[in-house]
Amino acid sequence: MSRYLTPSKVALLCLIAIYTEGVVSNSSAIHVLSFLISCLIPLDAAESSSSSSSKWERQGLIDIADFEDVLSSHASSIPGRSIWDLFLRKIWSLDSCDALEVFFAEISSLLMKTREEQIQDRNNGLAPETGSMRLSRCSPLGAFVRRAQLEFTRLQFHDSVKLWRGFVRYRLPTYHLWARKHPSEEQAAVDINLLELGLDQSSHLAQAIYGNVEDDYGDENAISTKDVERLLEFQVGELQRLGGRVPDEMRSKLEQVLASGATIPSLVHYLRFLDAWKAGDYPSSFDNLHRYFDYTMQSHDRSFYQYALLNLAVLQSDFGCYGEAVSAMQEAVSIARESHDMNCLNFCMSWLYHFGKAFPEHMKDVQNTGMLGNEKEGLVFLKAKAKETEMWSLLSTTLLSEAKLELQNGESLASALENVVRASHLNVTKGLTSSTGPQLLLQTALYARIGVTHLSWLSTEIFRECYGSRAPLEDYLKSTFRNCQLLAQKGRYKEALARINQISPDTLRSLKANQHWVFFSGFLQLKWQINRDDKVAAEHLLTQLQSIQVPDNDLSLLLVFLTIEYVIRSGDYGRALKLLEKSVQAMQPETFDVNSQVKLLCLKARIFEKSGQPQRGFSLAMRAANIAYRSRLLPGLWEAITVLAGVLLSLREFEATNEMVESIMPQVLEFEDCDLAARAYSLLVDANMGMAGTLRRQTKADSPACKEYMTRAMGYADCAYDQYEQLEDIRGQCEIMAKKATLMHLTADRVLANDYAAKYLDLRKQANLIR
Amino acid sequence: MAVNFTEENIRELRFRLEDAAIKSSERCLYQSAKWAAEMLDSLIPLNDYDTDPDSPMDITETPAGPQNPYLAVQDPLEASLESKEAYKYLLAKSYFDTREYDRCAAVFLPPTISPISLSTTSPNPKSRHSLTPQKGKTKAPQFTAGKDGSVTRNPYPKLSQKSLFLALYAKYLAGEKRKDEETEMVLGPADGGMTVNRELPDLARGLDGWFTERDEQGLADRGQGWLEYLYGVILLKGRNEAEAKKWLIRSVHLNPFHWGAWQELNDLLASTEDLKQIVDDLPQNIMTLIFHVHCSQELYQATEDTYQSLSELETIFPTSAFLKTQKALLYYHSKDFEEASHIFTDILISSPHRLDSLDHYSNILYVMGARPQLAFIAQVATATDKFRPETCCVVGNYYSLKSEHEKAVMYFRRALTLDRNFLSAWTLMGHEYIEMKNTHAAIESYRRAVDVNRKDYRAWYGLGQAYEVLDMSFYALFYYQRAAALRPYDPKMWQAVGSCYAKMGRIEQSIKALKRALVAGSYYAEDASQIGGAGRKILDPETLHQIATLYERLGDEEEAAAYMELTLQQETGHVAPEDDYTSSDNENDDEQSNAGTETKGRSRRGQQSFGTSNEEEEEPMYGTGVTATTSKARLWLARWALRHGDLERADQLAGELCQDGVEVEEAKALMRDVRARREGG
Repeated sequence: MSRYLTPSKVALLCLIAIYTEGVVSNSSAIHVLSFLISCLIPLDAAESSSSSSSKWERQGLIDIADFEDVLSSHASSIPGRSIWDLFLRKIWSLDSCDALEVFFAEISSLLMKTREEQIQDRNNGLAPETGSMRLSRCSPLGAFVRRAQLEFTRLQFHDSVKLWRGFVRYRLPTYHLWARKHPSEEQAAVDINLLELGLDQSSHLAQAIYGNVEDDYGDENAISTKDVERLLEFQVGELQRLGGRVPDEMRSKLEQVLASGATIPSLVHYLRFLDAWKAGDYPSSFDNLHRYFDYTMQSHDRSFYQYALLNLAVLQSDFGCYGEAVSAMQEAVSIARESHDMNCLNFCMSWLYHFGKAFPEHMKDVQNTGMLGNEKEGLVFLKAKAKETEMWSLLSTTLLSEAKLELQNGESLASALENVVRASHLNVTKGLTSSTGPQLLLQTALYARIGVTHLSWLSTEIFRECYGSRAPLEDYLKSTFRNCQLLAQKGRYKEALARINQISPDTLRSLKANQHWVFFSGFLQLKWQINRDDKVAAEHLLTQLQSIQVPDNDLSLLLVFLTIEYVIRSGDYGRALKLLEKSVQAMQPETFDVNSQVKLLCLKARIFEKSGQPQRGFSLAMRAANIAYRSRLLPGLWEAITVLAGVLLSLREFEATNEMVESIMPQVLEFEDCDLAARAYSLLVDANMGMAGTLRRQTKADSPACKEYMTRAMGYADCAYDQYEQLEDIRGQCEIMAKKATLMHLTADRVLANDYAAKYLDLRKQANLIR
Repeated sequence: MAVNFTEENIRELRFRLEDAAIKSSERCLYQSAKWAAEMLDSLIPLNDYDTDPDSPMDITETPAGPQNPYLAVQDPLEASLESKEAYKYLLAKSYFDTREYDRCAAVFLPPTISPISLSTTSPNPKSRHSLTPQKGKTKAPQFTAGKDGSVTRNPYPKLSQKSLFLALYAKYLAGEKRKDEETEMVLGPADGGMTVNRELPDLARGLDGWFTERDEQGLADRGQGWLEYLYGVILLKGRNEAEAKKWLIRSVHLNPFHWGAWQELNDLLASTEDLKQIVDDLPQNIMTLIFHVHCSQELYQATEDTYQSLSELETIFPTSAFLKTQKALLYYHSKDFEEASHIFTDILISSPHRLDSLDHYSNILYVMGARPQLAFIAQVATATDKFRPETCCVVGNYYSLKSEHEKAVMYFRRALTLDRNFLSAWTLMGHEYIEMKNTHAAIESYRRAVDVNRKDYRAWYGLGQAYEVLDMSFYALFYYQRAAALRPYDPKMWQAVGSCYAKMGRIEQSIKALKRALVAGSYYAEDASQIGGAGRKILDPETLHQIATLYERLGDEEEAAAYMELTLQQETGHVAPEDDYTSSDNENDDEQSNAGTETKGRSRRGQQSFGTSNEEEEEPMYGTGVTATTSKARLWLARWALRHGDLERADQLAGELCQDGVEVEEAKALMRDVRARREGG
């Protein structure tokens, strides 16, 4: 593998030479130049991402056909000739190894003369040239020409011969085209010297030099080390940014490239490390990481030790060796401090902070050393440092972390929002696409917490539409999950599942991402199956989900809630209570979230209600409502109120229940949670019925007021039924249907009552069928 | 040495060559084996049992052919010894093949054979080799020859000659290897050319003892020639040339088909006289003929005789690349580059992987200025093996032609690292250093070249040039004379000698040398006419003008004028020149004369002067036309005529000058002067 020069670069030089000859017409000059530039200028990874694949491929491997595509449609200023014709003439004018050497020797004449040369010319009495076009030495083209010449001078003879052979092979496809256009000129397909000796390609001598030119195999010259390095850098950048894996196609290409060259950049070991890491191949990722360190030791010595440790720590934690990870990270922190590498230090701190959030039990050591102080202090420290060193993405994520912390602790909503807005401002002004994902995610959560579901929905949609393709895979998955959760809340399971299945398995080649995806889609299905009362499926899914150890507190809590819900539905209240107690005990002050607290309290109250002792849940519901109210956790508040309403019902406080539930009904509907709405409606039915009942008992007769209550109850029952139907919640539907039948029976409408009873039986049958 | 070979002779030759190839490779003399095998392959086919090679029947028929009578060991004593040592020999050979020389030697030789050397040190204290620069260490006097009278005993155990040769040769190579390792970098501090092979003294003493013992036993004529050859080589390395010659001649008598011995013998001969001296001592067979041709080629004797012998040989070995190379080199020496390059091209086409002598081909292409072809050859060589000294030389030459001298030097150095004794690389590196104005390095390179082969006139000439650059004319003169002695018919050499004398103020000698150059030049003109068709004897106007100016310096104006006239005459070459020739040739001639005025540039690589040398060889047939030199002569003559009152002639000459458009101002002034005198007188 050559260091820099490749046959395609020689072809580019030919094109530049044609351009400087001034035969490119004005109309096509821009086209030719932009083609050249797209081939020469290294694209910034961030800029290129939009059209990365197509542009990037062009970088290293410009096929001769690419030249034809670009050039053949453009006319030169010579009549009747396209630039492609001129280009062909140029590349075929290099008819021997010597011609190539001469070409490179003379290539500096394309450049503007240096000051020294100009002075020398003047001293020698030569007039400065005016006619021909010359490239400025520092222009992109000029720099490329100079670089190419320098690299050629560095080549040893056999290397330049290799380049020549590569070039012969490279241009060979155009031979027939060229020979057809210039039948008069005697042209050798390979080397003019062979022609002069009267030998053809099959002669012994030609075979000795060129081997078999036609066969494509062993085209080791097409890519230079520089190209490979750039390719690897790009790949590593992509992997780090997106967190995916190297696509199969690319991987085989890389293998092929690397197999052809003796000088492999050490970066390839890093790439392999990343790939193995994402693939979950623990031993080989370790192996490759250490191999990379060993190979780079020579050039970088200790200067990257902290980064090595950082990588190591991240790797360790990903594989569950948390203790090791923490100690490696601590070492990294101290090295970074020692060497005043603020970037690394900040990154380490930030990582430690997040790690501490996820695994507080492993942070004892760190806490003891007082490295980060408590959470708040840590955040303040990070914020200050990030501002100091102008690490905007760190600052943005820190602000988000702060907002998240405030939300979790149920503190001021305003300040949380303020932090989000500040982060958003940073993201926009500094163009931080990478931290937009977390920001939108947090926004989603925030809106969900204050019960504005449509805004929450909007945030996930914005992310999906605008940032999805460029965001790290993890963010994308999470956001999609939120999105689907919202859909599922409204009972649109099919849509949700379709959406989550849209994520192509190609992107899920990373082990972690795959696990997440499996968890998310499993979770959604489980929810659906629970509602459909399909116990077999639900049981099956549940065991599967529980076996996936997702290292994320929020997600495991979600699963716990769902499990409890399921257990409640199957009527095993004792077990439900036990599960609940267990999860309460597992809660730690570091990961404490008001949301889950409220949820747990409500669940407990509901279990009491279901198990026939609703009054025991009163204080629980009151506490939940209180907490939710204080921390503006509105969905929680509505939930608590519905539970409370249930308690009041059992105390025969129909009036109060009705009033309370009716007052929250608009907000509940706004929240777009069918389950909650259905329960609220069902409560209203009961309350109205209760009121009608008391009225009847007092008056002993069917008063119009009583009738009105009944009608209202009927209306509410219809609403509740609709909500349950949307959710496909068969149990709920049955319950409502039963209530309706009873209602009709009480109003003495036998026919309708019969009707509803038949419907109820149908539903039961359907449910049994599922079962 | 008449050669009319019968079929019987050919068959015998075939057997002999086969025998030589097998035995040489048995003794690990790879190059000789290769040579013999190549020659064997190129031998004309025999009619009787040489059936169609493609026919499958051939395989079954081959064993039916007569057995090679030479393959069997003739001497019963040797045969029994060899069969006794067969296994040990195999062991030793395999060690040799894996380049474990010491181990190979140890198979047959006892670890210490020093006792004998201890006894001989004291009686023989004087060093006989003033030629070898010795290191300050005390060392046993080396290479005692038998006639010293000192008694040396055979230190070796009783072995067959084959095994003994292998063991001693391995020892010798081990020494060479160590020597190479000690020298380290090319032209580095340790590479002064004075590191020696430390095994040589022991080997020389031992072999001496061995041979004396054989003599005493009356077995002297039962040698096989191999050990004699080795002894010769060892003596040669110790610069004991007379003895070496003796032993080598003995070796070729005993074993005439061993090419290595001939080659060593060739290296010993410094001049044609030497060759003539030993010719009578040589055996009369075909190998002697080949040797003679090779020698003549190496000594630049591109004479009719040599060509004659060569073509005779070619009838026997029609496809021999070796002979073709010799022929090409002969053409090269007689400056027929086209023909030489043709032959080389043929060789290249028939065997593209052959790298031998490719460096010579690259020299030819260099002289012809054929850069694309040179690049092509370099490509071919690189494709075969990029780490062969020949390849490096070709590539170096290519870079040199491209004026990339640093790279060229790098490649020549590489060639030398691969083989210290690669002659042409030393010389070529010297040339490069001259180009890079590193005169001291150039001198050292040339010196090493000369040390390797004293017949390389280019190196001698280069040394002269280098010293001329340093203004050390005495040294330069010495080296130019050496070069001139090697190439007595090369005018360049004599011109260099002449100009050197002129610089030293020894004008008479200078004139003599320049006249010699004139004669030599005319000799070549004649010589060229034999090959190239009708030619004319023409004298180099340059030299003539130089002689004239020298006479002027001596104050001998008559002579000077005469030579100036001669110079003028060369314009026409005694024939009225056709106009188009004069006009078209003008450019080249100007270049030539420019080059000629600074002899340094001109004589690079002996003959080429920046690529115009071809024309130089061809043009004299038509006269030179008007050149700067002849114009100078004309101006001088005009002035001289004016001074001597020959106004007519002065006017005529000045008019001609005006016509030619050279030195017009001067000429016009002269004409005015003439007119003034005419009017005045």
